[in-house]
Amino acid sequence: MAAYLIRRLATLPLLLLGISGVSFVLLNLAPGDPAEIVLRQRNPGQALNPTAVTAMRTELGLDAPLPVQYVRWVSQAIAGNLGRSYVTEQPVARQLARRTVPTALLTAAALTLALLVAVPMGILSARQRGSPVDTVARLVALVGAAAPSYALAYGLIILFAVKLSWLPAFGYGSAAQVVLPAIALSLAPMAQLMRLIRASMLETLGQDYIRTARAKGLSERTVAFGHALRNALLPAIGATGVSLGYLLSGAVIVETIFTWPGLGQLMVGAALARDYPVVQGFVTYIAVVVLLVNLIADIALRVADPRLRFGREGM
Amino acid sequence: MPKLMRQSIKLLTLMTLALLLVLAMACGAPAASTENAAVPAATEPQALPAATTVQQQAAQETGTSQQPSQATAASEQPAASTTELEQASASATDDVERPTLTAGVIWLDSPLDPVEGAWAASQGGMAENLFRLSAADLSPEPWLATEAVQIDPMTWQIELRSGVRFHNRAVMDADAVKASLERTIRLSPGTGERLAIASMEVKDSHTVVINTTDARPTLPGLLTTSQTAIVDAAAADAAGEDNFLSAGALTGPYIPTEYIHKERLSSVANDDYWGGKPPLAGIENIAIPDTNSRELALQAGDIDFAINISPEGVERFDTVPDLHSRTAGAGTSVVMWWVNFERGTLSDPLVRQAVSHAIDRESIAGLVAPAGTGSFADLLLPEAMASCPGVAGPEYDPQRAGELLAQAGYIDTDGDGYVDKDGQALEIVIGGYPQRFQLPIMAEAAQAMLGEAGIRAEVQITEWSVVKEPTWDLFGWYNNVVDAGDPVLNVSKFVGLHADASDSGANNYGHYSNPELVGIIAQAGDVSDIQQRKQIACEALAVVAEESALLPVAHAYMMYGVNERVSGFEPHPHRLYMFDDRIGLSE
Repeated sequence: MAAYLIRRLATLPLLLLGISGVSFVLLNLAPGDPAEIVLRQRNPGQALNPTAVTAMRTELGLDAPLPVQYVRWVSQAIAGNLGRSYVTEQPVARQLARRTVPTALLTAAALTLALLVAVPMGILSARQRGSPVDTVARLVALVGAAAPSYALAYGLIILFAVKLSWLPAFGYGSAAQVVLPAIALSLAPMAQLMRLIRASMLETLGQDYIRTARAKGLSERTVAFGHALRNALLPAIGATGVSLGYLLSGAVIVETIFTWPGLGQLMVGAALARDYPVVQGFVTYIAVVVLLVNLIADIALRVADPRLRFGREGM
Repeated sequence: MPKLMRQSIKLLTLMTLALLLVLAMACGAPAASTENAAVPAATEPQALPAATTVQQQAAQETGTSQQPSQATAASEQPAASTTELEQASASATDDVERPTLTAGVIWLDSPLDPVEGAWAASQGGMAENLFRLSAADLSPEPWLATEAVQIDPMTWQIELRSGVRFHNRAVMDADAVKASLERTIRLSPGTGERLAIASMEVKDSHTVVINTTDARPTLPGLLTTSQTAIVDAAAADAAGEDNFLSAGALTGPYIPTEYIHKERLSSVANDDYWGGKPPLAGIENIAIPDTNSRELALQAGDIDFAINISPEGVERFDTVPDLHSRTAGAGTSVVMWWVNFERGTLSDPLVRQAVSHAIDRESIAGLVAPAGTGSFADLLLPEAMASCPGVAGPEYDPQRAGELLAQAGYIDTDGDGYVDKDGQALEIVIGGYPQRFQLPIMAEAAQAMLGEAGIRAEVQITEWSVVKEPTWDLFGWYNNVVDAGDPVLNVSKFVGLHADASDSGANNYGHYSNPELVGIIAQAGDVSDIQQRKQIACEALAVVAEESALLPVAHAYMMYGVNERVSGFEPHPHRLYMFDDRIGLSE
């Protein structure tokens, strides 16, 4: 286990370098001159002076070759300095930190909701295959997988805020305001997890050791929950880690629609304003979070499944 | 129940409880603010000012050959008359707890300090200028000033309103106004260049004399821009750039109390306001950038007021009980295309004219600014700024477009439906940016129309700064065209000139250049009569239209959605003016 952990941790910096490097190159390929963007932000409505643009390019370090710029950015990022926003001129790291709590709350609520629904529904759906419960579960999974989060978000607002007036349509500041965005955000991972757990449970219930359990005269409930469930839930552990990536990408849309002041809204605003340091910082930060969560999920999977643990270490 | 199942349920229940606990704790406290300040204590109301006028006197004693005509800035009463102010004040009694209005706005991403060109403080009823644009005809009218007299072409005497205090209780007098304008010149060089102030003299506590480096017949108009809002310069400078809010440096009916960038801007009533006690306890401006979300929040009753609603929203609100759309019914922003004179394709006048005849701009205006939300812009400036009888833009005439293309040597030789010349198809790129919903619609409609005329068009909706790159032939643009209430200035800035025809190149994204136009604009020099300036603007617009130098499409209105509890809201055609001391909210 320790060797596995060291191996995984060693690959993290390489992955981060790759992700941030690709992001850095893509941002630099995008049309528009950041120096002009900064000058426009600082002097709205005024004509651009070519000399001022050149001076600003120097000030921002944009006159250096791209690889030099990237190396400079990486060395600063290692020290926790992700640069300053072109728009607000505030440190990017501070902006990311301030927006992390709302996004963490929203994704935690959405993930919990997804697990609370997906786990029991997936199990029930598998145990009662072909029943009305199974049909409903598959329908929910289908809608969740197919419906775009923005359509779902607007639908929820129209139903629960406009028509029924049960919940607020937007905002951040009360527990009621988390309900609609969490539902909108949770449906896609909920559908994915539900289908996975159902399929995994069905596969497990058909295995030899389950047949043996049944042959020993155990009740169907004991067979399902006492013998099949643990193995059936193993794929869901890994999938939960992957779901976090979906949740964070979904948050970009959901946070914008619900005016939720999180990382997603920050990212949308930064992308539209061509605020490259914020976009670059966001991509790197999210990459770190997703990689770490996936690492934790993998470790959890190994803790839960001795076959993986011993198999790997025996190699 | 098997052990694992029980453990799973227990774990999930604990996770849910923990989540709810965290949510309750986290949501109880607002996110950290970027600017905070203690609210100045409310004090006794100030006496209402005397009725005001702006007069501009002929410079008969100056000895100059050009004599500015009288009343360039026509005599106007401030939009909020004394009677209205008294009514507003009367409605705000001490005995009744006043409501707070919640408004959904698009952006709250700029600094609060008006000198940085931000509108938030002006729109929010926090900042005021010496002059503002009249809602009736967009001419400058007194606000914190009471009178402006042009002593000679390069000298203005401005009388100030008495009884005005900054939010920090400091008195706004002539010294404070002088310091404020000096700060503007220091921190906003572009504005300083436009104002051309050589020196300022404090004549008495309520009189400032401004000397300009050259003739500035439209100085009151130039003092309506957000950069020239009057601030307590000493307090603002002492507070520092990042702490402007705490300086209490503004004068408006609402005092900013908390500003969280891109989230909200809170204010409380300035009970010490020179116009009387405002009817509201405060205004909460919430940033809701998504138009649909803003409209749904209004429908849900979460906000009382929504800015910049869509044509569909207008239609919906006018059929929903308790909600209304509101507009001043005059377009002060233009939706248009820049025409690229440097790229090659449209530098050929015949092709450029063919393209302008091939696009039915009036039909497209009906799509992006349907009746009640805007109007067709045949010319760059709206009627309110300059009515130009006999001047018209290129007419939709596909047959003429075909003839012009043939004259230019473009015919369909291979029968694919698109014209070509020397084996090269005629292809143009239509650019734009997505933040203004009109621009992608315009681009797609034009693409279809050009296709009908045999011109292949590619739509590239990217973002606004691409306008500065040589990758497009037409580029969609949305811009205010009533700056300073001066028609000449607003034509000039779109053809790369200042109002005095100097400094070619500024904001001229199409790289259009025409010496005839420079000559026409130069006539405006020291002309102060607004009718003469309108005439000069019309002459310039005739040249611009004849050459298809720009292709205007629509003049968009400022559209608001309000619930029926909102009272005293009078929409102004200009985006700078939204909340004032009259807006209220009934219970």
